[in-house]
Amino acid sequence: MSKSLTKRNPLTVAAVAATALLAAACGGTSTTASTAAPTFGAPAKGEQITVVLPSYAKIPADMLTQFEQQSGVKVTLSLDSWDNIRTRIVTANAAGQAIGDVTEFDWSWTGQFGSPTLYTPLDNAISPAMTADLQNTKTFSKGGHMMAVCYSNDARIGMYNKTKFAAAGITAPPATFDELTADLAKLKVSGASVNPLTLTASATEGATTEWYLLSMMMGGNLFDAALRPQFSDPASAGYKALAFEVEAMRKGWASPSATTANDQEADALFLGGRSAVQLAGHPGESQTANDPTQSKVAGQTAYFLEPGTAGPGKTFGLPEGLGIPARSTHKAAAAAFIRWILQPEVQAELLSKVGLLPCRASAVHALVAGGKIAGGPVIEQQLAHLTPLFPNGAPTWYAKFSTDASALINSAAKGEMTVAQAIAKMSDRARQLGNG
Amino acid sequence: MVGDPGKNGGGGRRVRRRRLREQTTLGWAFSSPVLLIIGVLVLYPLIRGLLMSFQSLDLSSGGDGSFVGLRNYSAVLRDPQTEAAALHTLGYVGCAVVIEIVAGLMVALALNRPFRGRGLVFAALILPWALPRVVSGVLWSRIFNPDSGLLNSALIQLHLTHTNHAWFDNPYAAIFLISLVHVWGVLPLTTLILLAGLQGIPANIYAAAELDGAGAVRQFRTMTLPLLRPALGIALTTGTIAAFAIFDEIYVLAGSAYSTRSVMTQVYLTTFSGGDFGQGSALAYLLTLATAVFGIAYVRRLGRAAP
Amino acid sequence: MTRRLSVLGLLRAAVIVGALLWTLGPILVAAVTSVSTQSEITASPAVWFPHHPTLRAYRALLPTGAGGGGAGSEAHQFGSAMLTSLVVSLETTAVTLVLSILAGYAFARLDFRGRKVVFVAVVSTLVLPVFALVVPLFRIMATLQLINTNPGLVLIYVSAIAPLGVWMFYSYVKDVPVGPQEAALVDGCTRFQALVKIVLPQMRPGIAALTTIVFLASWSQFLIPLLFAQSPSLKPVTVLITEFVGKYNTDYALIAAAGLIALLPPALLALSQSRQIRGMLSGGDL
Repeated sequence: MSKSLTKRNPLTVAAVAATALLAAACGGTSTTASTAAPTFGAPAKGEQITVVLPSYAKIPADMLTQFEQQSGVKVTLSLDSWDNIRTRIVTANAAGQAIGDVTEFDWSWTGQFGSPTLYTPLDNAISPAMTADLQNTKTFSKGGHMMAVCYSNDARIGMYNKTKFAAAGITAPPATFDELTADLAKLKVSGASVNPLTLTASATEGATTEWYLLSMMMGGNLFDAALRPQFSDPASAGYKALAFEVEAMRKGWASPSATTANDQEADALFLGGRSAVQLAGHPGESQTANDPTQSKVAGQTAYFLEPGTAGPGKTFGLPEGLGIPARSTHKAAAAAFIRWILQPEVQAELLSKVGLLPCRASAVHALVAGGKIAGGPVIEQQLAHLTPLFPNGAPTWYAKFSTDASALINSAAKGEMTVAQAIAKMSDRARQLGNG
Repeated sequence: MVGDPGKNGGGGRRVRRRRLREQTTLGWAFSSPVLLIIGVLVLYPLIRGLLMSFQSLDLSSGGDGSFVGLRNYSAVLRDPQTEAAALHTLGYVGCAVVIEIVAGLMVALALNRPFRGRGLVFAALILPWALPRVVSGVLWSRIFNPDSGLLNSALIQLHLTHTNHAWFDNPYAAIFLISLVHVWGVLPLTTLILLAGLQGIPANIYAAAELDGAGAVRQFRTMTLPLLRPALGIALTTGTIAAFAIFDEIYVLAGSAYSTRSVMTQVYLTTFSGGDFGQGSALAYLLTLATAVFGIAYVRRLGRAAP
Repeated sequence: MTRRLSVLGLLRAAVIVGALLWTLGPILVAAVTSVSTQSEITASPAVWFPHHPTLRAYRALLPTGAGGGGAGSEAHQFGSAMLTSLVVSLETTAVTLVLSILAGYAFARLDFRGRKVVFVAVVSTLVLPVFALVVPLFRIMATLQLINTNPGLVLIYVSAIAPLGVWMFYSYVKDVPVGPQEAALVDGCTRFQALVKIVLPQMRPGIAALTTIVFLASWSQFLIPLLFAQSPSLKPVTVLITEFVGKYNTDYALIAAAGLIALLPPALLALSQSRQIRGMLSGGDL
């Protein structure tokens, strides 16, 4: 989808955008609404909203002042660690309260929070042109509505250590999965890297996302349209992905620490020059990798496209969105804030000041073309292979499944159960949850 | 109840009745502020929470709050993870409470005698409790990390081992180590309670015993330990409550791995991650019940800690 | 006799040294972490001591440093969180002590109908896990309009900590000899005067220990302030530090430095309270 977008005639985009701007100026109440989605009027002058964001997405005060000058809406930023935001939302909601007017809305929350009783459908909050330009809209869709708007286009991208590859006599990063396994074996045998693969197989969210990523790289879908598990068959991508992880543990491609390390600790192995391949790299990692106070591999690393079965593989996005709680009493002002975030210049500023990769394809393209993103061309190519985990939006039971999946992946990696046993339990769990 | 003034106070019946009335008024007056706060902020939520445990409150299936009888309880009891978590929890409680009480008693006894720098030692020993939990999480991860961890590094440098150990891959080792980390944080409380108990023992009884020629060990067995029983009861109970509620240490060091989950981990995952306050509350109240059984057993055995 | 006593003395010294090593070992790790660079902290094999120790993390947290002390800066937030923690903990300590002393005395010394039931009910609330109460508590606090307020926070802390205080005071008061108090009552003192003038002075070491316990219990609260103190101006240091955890990078040095600074107020309080702990007059104890 993003690919076709970037190829679209820029004139058409401009025309649609202009119409949309006009519509927005008239209060944003126009456009094709799906039946139940509410519309958003203009915010009242002097309205105040609370925006709850993870601490790593701290929007600088001067940017918020700009927004206040443009819209008359005053923003109070409430920051918390990502984990804590979920705890706060869940508790406050159970007690019939909302924690803010705009809140973080992670891709993984779509199933659980994507109901109109909890969050406001945002189909009419932004113009159709903006929506068309926006990536990850499917990931945030539930019941035919867009429940959140992407503000941080986080995705997985491969990273490798050129120096270590050269030391093992390998000249190019792996293009396919077979090449990857061959390269890992070479890196290990040659002694270029004792544990060449960075892997997260601890009982944390990082382990499930790694498994999804590997499954997608192997060309598979984990669930079909009816949300039935598609990984029970030993020939399926999901099964092979877990088998690969266990093999990587056994052969010592991955460090023994993979069973307890969270994704940050695992990443430290790549940045510390222990491992040579990080499949779960992210946009922005290049900058960290080249910072000598944080990394020992400055100048040694590069992005590469996630290897697939034949050629580049699909990748997995972990975008973060903004949602408006159903109980917010400042929905118009909240929607104005979300529209402001999507302005091209604001997106560019968020990248340079906060390090958030924009979610608008046009913004990514412009920033890559302008050389504003380290490793930009590879990132843009990789984003073209972005695939939602659930084509029809995440199921309500996603969080429960994910917790069990990570524990089962962890058990298989520790050798407490076989791949077949872990997979069987995982698909049982998915079926049981799917049946309510 | 030798110390009960109402019983050994003298005077005629009228005086006694007047004193009783006065004591009733004062008793309620002195205890009412605490009763009010606990009533509104603990007992009322407790009843509301109990109701929740009988309601359908699953965020993800649009739980509407309708009453479902014992369904939440039967669901959590049927879950094989609950049984495993209960066993792990008993493991944590067993390890942690024994170490805490033995170590806490030794430290409290040592601190109960004046020596130079005792104030500084006292202040130093409470630090683990004061350290914010994220920080101790970072510390212990740094110590136990298989690759970059200080423990492996130390063992290798001392030639006690030559490979890195993944400490939490063995479930027994994991439960023991997590218990140690828990003890690190809770020991200050145990020590403080026991030290306070020791301080409450009148010094003159030892003087009398000394005159009788009782040795230190006999004084400890026949006087200190019996007089310390109420404090031991409090320390045991608070230590057990804390160990039954063990969660943070597990989550930081082993995530939600099946082999180390405690009941409280299950409560957390059900409630905050799964968004099911019905089942989460049900499990939390079952845990409360189990903790209470232990608490009552201690208090009964150690007597005198309660009226 | 003398030889056995010196064996005991050695044993005591060994216990103290062992306890200090056990306690301070990890704190020392925090100290080293706080002056190391990120790549040294995550290095494998481990780097025990930084090659180029840096005070960067402390500079970022202290207003005099390069981080500046302006509003919104890390130093400003950290300072404000430390102050919040201190104020809320001191308030909780004061309120809890007064209420626990009164109630503990009432349950131990005053004979009134229902006291056993009420005492057991209060103390039993200790077994309730906070997870089981947060949602109904949230409702009540919202109704009372106490969410995001200092009194709201203090009241919840008191409700969580007071049962232990009541229990401990109950147990101390039982230890205090009745005689002097009875004499004071006969001399015409009121109950309250007897409590303040006769009972309390005898319980000073216990009060010191309990002061330390209550302060520490408030200082280390996390879930309650996370849920009930959402505004930046009411955020205690335990919650603020979790914000230093990033998505892909966590500044471990900053977290360690913040944790070490956060140790200072409780340590100073404990030091001040330690003066109240009396020495045993005779060498009867082990």
